Amino acid sequence: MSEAISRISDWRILVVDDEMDSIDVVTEVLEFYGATVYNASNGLEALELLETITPDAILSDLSMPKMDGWALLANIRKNERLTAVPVVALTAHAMAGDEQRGKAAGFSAYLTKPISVITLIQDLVDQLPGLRQ
Amino acid sequence: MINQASMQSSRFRSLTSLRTTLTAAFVVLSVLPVAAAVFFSSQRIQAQSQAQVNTLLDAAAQNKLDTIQNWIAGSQQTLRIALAHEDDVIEMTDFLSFHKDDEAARAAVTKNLTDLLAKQQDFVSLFVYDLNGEIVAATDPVDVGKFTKTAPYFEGSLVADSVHPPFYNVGSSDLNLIFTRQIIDEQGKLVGVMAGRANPNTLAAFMAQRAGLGETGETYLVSLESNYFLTPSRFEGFPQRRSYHSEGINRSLAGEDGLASYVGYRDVPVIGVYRWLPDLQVGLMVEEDQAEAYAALQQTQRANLIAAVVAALISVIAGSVLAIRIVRPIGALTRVTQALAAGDLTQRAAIQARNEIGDLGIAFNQMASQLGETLQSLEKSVQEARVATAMAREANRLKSEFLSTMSHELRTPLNAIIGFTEIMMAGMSGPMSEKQQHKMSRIHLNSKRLLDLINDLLDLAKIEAGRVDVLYEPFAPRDLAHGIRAQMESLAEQRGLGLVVRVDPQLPTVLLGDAGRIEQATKNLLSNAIKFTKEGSVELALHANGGDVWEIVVTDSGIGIPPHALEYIFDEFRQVDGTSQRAYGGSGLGLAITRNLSRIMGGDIRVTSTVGQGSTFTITLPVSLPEELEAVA
Amino acid sequence: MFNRRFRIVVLFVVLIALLAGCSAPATPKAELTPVKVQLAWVPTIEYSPFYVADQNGLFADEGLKAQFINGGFDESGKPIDEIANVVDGKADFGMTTSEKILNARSKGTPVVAIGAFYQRSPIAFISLADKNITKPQDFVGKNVFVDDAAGSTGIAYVAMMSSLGIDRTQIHEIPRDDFSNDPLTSGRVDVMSAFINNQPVQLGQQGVKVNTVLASDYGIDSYANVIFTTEDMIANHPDMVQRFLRATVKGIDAAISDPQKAAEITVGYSDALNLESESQSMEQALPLFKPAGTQVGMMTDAVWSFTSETMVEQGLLTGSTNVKQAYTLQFLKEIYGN
Repeated sequence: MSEAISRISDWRILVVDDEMDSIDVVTEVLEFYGATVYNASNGLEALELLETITPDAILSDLSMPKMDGWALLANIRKNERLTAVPVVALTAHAMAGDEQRGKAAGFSAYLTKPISVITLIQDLVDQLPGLRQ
Repeated sequence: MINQASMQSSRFRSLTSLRTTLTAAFVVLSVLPVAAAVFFSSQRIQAQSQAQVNTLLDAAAQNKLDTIQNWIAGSQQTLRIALAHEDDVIEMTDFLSFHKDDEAARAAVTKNLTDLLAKQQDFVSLFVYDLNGEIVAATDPVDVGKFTKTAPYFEGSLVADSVHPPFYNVGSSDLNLIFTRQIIDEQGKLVGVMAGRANPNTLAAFMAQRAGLGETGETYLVSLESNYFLTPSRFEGFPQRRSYHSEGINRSLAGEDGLASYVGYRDVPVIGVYRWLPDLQVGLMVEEDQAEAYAALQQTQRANLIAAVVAALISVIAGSVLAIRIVRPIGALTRVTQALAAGDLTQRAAIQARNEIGDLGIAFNQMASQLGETLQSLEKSVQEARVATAMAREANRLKSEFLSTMSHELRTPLNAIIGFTEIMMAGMSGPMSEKQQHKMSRIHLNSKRLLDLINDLLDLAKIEAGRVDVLYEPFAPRDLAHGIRAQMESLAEQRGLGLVVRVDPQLPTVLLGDAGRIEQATKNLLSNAIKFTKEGSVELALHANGGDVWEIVVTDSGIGIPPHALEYIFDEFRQVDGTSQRAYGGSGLGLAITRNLSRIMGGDIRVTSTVGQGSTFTITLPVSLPEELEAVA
Repeated sequence: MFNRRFRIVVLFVVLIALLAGCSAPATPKAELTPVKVQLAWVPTIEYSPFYVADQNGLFADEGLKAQFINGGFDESGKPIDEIANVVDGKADFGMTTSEKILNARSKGTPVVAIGAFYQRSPIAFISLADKNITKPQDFVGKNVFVDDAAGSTGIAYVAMMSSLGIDRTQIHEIPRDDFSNDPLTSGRVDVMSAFINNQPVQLGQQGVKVNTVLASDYGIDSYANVIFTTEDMIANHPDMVQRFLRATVKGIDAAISDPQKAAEITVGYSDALNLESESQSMEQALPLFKPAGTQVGMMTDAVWSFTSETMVEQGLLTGSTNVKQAYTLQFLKEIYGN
C-alpha cells in the first residue's frame, strides 16, 4: 500500500455525483493522501471539465440529473483523448445484476455505496491497473 | 366443438340419408306385403289362366276326335248297311264272281249302289272292285274300268275293312277319303271290295269349326306323308301341300298325345294340344297363339302391376312425407346445435311437436340456456382472473421498482453517514478526543447495523418478489463446509465457543446448487447459533439422508427455544419472546431470509429445541447431481 | 397404362386375324368333284329335285358339284340323245324314260337306271271338257293324236287300248305332228297325249277346261324319268354314284317339302319359264314324285317288268333283254337302309 499511497499524490481524480456529501466523503479521503480531486455534479458539468483536464481516473455516480453516469461513460469513450481514462461507477445501485451491467457497459470498476473509506484506496488500486503505473 | 367436416358435407344430404332410410323402411314394409300378394295372386291367375286355356284346347281336340270317330264309325256303318240284306249280298257276290262282264248284272248292282248313295250322307260315290283291283261297278260311271291296284288302299282293303289315311292322287287336287269293305260270299271267300269315297271336304269342314278358339286358334290334321296338312291352315300363306314342322306336329306324328307350349309352324309361340289318330293315321292339332291365350291374363297382370306400382308410389310419397316429418325437427335441432357450437348461444330450437321430439327440443333449449349462463359466469371469472393476474403483475413490478428505488435511496445517505464517520475515525479530519472517538465508533456501529438491516430487508423483499435467480452450479459440499468454517472460526473463537464441522462421507462429492445462497443460509444459522450460545460448542454437519435429499444441520448448546415460539420463529422480526426487542442484535430477518432461501432452493428448514439445552436447525435440500455423476450414481 | 393398351391392341389384331382366317368356308377347302348331268328336256319342275339340291348345297354336302346339261334339241335343231351323251362320257349321269333305257339295253348300250323321279306314269289323254271323253272307251269314233310307237306315250296308248280290249280301228288315229296345244283347242283333234302336270295346267291357265284319262288309272305304269348312268360308272365309281343319288334323293324330298320354293328355284334355271304355271305344275307333280305310301326316288320290279312286257308285246323289245339288268335298286336300298 505504501507504494500505491506514495503515488496517490500524483493522482488526479475526477469525482462526479449530484450528492455533495458523497463527493465530500471521497474527496476528503483522496485529498488526505495527496491526490488532486476535481468534482462535478452531473455528467454535463463533468464533460465541460474534461475539456480542460485529463484525469487519471473518473469516479462517477450513476443516477444524476442532466446527464447520468451511463451517458457520461459513453461520451468519454467517444473521446479519443479520454478513452484510456478508467471510469469507475460509484453507486448506491447494489441490486443483483447491477454490477454486471455496469461492467458490461464499460465501467472499469463498480463500487457500491456506502463505500468503505478504509479500503477505498486499495480497492481503486486493485481494480484499476492503470493507477499502479 | 362439433367438427363440421365430420358431418356429411351437406346438411340436406345428412337429412336425406335418414329420410331415405325411413322412407325405404316404410316403403319396404308397406310395399313388400302388397308385392307378395300381387305376385302370388298373379301366379295363381297365371296358373288358372293356363289351366283354362289348356282345358279349352283339350276340349276342342276331344271334340274333333269324337267328331272324326263318329264320322268314321258312321261311314263304316253305311258301307255295312249296303250289304246288310242277304239278297243284296248274293247279288253282289254273284256278280263279282261270275258276271263281271254282264251289263245287266252290273246295272243291277249299280242301282243298288246308287240307291244306297242317295239314302246316305257320308259318301259322294261308291265303287266296287274285284280282287285284281278293277272297278266293276260304281255310282260314277267314269270309275268303271279303272284299276285300283296301285292305289294305296288296295292291299289293305283285301285284308280288312278299313279307312285309309287321306291321300292325294294323280290328276286331282282333292283329298281322297276312302273307306273299304270286304265283299265276302256265302262260302266266306273274299270276292271283292266295296269302297266309298267320302266328301273330300268333310275333314276340312270338321276342322273349320273353331268356336271358342278366338282369332288365332285353329285345328288341323297333319299327314305322315311329307308332313302335309290334310286340312287347310286358318292363315294365309300356308298351302296344305308343304312340309310343316313344329314340336307339336312332330310329337303327334310320332304317335304321342299331349299338350305343350312351343313355337308353332308359323314361327309364333303357341299352346298346342296334339293327338295321334291311329284309325286315320293322322295327327290332330289344336293350337292357339300364346299371345292371344294369355292376352286376358296379360291384361290382368298388367293391371295388377300398374296397381302395385301406384301403391308403391303412394307408399313412397307417404313414407317420404312421414320421414320428413320425423327428420325435420332433428335437422332443426342439428342446426341449432351447430350454431351453439359456433358460439351463438342465443339460438333456441323452435320445435312445436307435442311428442318425444318436442320434449327433446324443450330439454335442449333448457340445456342451451344453462350453457349460456355457465359460459357467461365462466367468462366473468376468466376476466376477473385476468384482471387479478394483471394487477398482481403490476403490483410485482411496482414492488420491484420500489425495492430498487428504496435500495438506492437508503444507501445514498448511509454512504455519507458511514463515509464521514470512517473519515473521522481514520483521523483524516484531525485528531479526536477519546470521548469523541468512542461516540464516533458508536455512530459507525449503528450505521453499520442500519446498513445490515437495509440489506436484509432488501434481500427478503427480493426473495419474496421472486427476483432471485437460483443457480445450479456444481460445488463441493466439503469445500463449502470448510470455507464456512474458515469464515466463522474467528467469530466462534471470539465468543469462546467450539466450532465443529462434520461432512458425511456418504454425501456426493459434487452437488448442483446455489453455493452462494447455501453459504448465506448456513452462515446465518451459524451466526445465530454462536450468538445464542454462551458456552459449549456449535456444530455444523452436512449429511446425506437417503438418496434424494441432503441436510445442513446446525446444532448449538444455547438457550434454546420454547415450544410455543417454534411456530413463528421463522416469521419476520419475531424474536423468541414474541417481542421484536432484539437483545441479541441482528435484524430480526435472519431466519425469515434463511427459510426463504431454503425454499427457493427447493428445500425447507425445520427446528427442534429444548430450552436451556440448545437448538438444532436443519435445512433439507434436494440432491441434484451433475449429469455425468448421475449416470454413475 | 401404355403396356396395357398395347396388349389390348395386339389381342385385337390377333382376334381379327383369326376371324379372317375363319371367314373362309368352315369346311376345309376340299375340292368338289364335278359331275355332269344330261337332262332329257329343257328345265321344268320335272327336274326341280336337281335344282333344289344344287341350291341347298346338297351336292356340295356329298362333295360334288353338279352341272346340268339341257336336253331337247341342240342349236341345229337336232334332238339331243341323252343316252348317247352319257355313254360317250359327255355326261356322268342322265335323265331318260325307262322305255329308252330298255331300248338302249336291247342294243347293247350298257346303261343302268339307279332311281326314278315320277313313280307313277304322268301320261294322260286330254280332251276338251265339253267333248265328255272321260274314259278310253270314249275314244271310239274320235280324232286321236297318236305318238311315235316307240315313245313312251305311244307305248302307253297302245298298251291301254289293248288291255281294255278297245278296237283301235274304230278310232280315228292321227299321227302326232304338232306338240303344241293348238290341235286340241282348235278342234283338229279330240284327244291327244299329255303329261298330267303339264298341258292341262297350261290350258287351265288359259281358262280351257279339259278332261283327263290317266294311263295309270288303267293299269299302265312306267317310269317316265329315271336317273341313269353307265355300267362302267357303277363298277368303277360306285361311291360317286351313291353320293350323287343320295344328294338327288334328298333333293326330291326338299322339293316336295316346299313346292312353291321348288318352282321358284326352277324358274331361276331358265328364262322361258313362268312361275305361275311351274307352281301349278309342281302341285300336280307331287303325287307323281311321292305317291301315298312310297319313298321318293324308289323303283319297283313290278313296274319295270310291266314296262318290259308291254314293250315286248308291242314288239319293241326282244325277249332276250334282261330287264333286271336295266336298273338297280342297290343304291336306293343303301339310302333307305332296307
